[in-house]
This record gives sequence, C-alpha cells and structure tokens, in this order.
Amino acid sequence: MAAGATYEPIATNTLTGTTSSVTFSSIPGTYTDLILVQTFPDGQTTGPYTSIQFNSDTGSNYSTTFLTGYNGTVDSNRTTNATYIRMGSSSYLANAICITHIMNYSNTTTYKTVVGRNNFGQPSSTMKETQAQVGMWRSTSAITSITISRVLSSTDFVSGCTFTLYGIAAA
Amino acid sequence: MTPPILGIFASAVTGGVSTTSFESIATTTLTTTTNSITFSSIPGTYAHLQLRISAQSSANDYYMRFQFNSSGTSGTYKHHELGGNGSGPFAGDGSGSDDSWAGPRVGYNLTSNLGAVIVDILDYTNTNKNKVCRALGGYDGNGSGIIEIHSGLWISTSAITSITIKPYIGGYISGSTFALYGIKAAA
Repeated sequence: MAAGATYEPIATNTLTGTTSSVTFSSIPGTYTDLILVQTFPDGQTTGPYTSIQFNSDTGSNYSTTFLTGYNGTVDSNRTTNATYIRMGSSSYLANAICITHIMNYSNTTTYKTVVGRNNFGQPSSTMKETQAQVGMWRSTSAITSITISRVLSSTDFVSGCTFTLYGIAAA
Repeated sequence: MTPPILGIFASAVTGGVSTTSFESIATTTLTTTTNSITFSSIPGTYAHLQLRISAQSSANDYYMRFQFNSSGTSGTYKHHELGGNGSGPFAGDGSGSDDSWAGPRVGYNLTSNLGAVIVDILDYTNTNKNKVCRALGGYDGNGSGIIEIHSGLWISTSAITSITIKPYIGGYISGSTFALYGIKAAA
C-alpha cells in the first residue's frame, strides 16, 4: 500500500554573511508539495517580516490572510493584490522559525496556495509572536523557483539564518 | 545591502538525498464532485499519520469533517478552533453531539483556487488512549479567506484503521487531492 519514503531535502542554505534574499531555483517538478523551513538566529534583530515570491514574479499577484498572536493580543488581517506572500507581522525575526507548506506546486490548472506557521521571541525586548497564515499566488504556472526576501531591502538576513526546501511526493 | 545568493541543491551535495521515515500511503484525486473520501485498511506500522489536502467545497464554505473507523457515534468527537478571517480572530468548539470532528474550511465558489489543510493524527494505533489530532488550513481568495488551527478528539481507544473526510453538506470539487502519509518511529 505504501509507496515508499518521501519528504526529501531538495536544497539548503545556511548563511555565513548578510544577504538581502535567498532563491531556490530549478526546483524539480517531481514532488506533490514543497515545505520551506526557515530559521533565524538571535542576531536577526532588525526589520519586519519576510516575503515569498515565485518564479521571479514581482507583480501584484499575491495575497495573504493571517492570524497573529503577539504580546498577549490576537488579531487577523490580510493583504490583497500584493507583490509577495507575507510571513510574520512584527518588527523582529530573532529566534524565529517559519514552516511553509507549498501545496500542489507543479500543477498547471489552479492558483497556488500555501499555509504556514511562524514563531519568534526577542529576549532583549518584550516582542514575541506566533502566527498562522494562508497565502495565494494567482498563477497557474508550475513553481520552479522561490525567492525569500526581507520586505525592507535595507534589513538583510544575517549570518546563521537557515533555509531548507523539502519535497513530498504522494503515492 | 549584499546581493542575493542561491541555495545549494541536493544534487550538488556529496551523498545525495537521504531516505526518510515519512512515507506516502495513498492518494485520491477527485475527477468529479465527491461527497466523502475514505482511506481504509490503513496499516498499523507507523507512529503517526498526516493528511495533506488541496480541495474546494462544492456547496458552501463548510468545515471539513473527519470520522474514524466509520464510527458516527454522537458525542464521541470534539474539536476546538482558532481562526482569522482577515478582519478579526475567532474561536469555537464542537457542539458535543457531533459524529465527526471539524477541521478547517477550504473555500467555496473560488476560481482556479484550492484551499489547503494539513492534519496530524498522533499515535493512531495506540489502544490505551483516546485519539487526538491537530490541523492547520484555510484558503485565500485575494480579499476573502480564512486561516484556521484546529484540535480534534475521538473518544475511542480503538486503533484507527480508516479515515473518512466529508463536509456537512455537499462535497469536494473535481481536482481536489487527498493524500495520506505515515510517519515511522525509531525501531
């Protein structure tokens, strides 16, 4: 009945210096879903949330709905006709993890939906957050590349950030 | 600001891709609107199960419901939910008489758009414990949409051997995909 092991690492990137974005390109279309795992060290103390774009599309073709708990408050908001899918909402990413599921990424008949969770805590301040989000890319193109960026280009990812892309193949 | 850099691909790493304990068990892709989807004869050889679903409702924006072993005994399923609809948060729970537990909604009447749900079913073969689950899911319609986190409980110590997925009313549209995976523990 089982079709064998899956959940395979496709690529990983551990930063040794600062950079404004990370791109996974030439993603094989042989999986059903992708999982993007991002971790941010204590030193990632500046700048707001991260963004995800697919296939280098910088158009206003993205939207996100999110649920956020931060500093004892809960809220829900959304973006529409945005130029990226948004991960996180507050001012810091220190000690953060973001796990994003990119569903059915290679199909060419539907838009692409992602669901994810992220958490962070900033020990040097009162900032802490947990969030869930669902995002959509309004394109029927198969996803072949993913770019993760800081929303403010002046706030780079720092050394020690890790980005890993996994693939899951259904039976 | 430094320039962007690219990821390192598995094909360039010595030793290549490793095998994992995450296995695909079965997948159903709908070719017509379907009222319920059942995975049966689930092997008991894993520690946990995971459902990964891309779907859209055919009738309305109803909760996706999960029933185990075809057991519809009233009151044996419970759930809690925490969600956001883009305007504000909400929370809820089951009615106490449900014949299945309710998971996230996947949207209705959306163009070229499937919602997503991921369900973890923990320790599903254990005959000394009731069964607990959690789910993350929702949909986004560029101006509409819901994101939800759910917990589910089946008050039964029976090992889970089948899972039925259905909405309250209607079904799921053609193109919806339901995939079941097993996660092994250490030998």
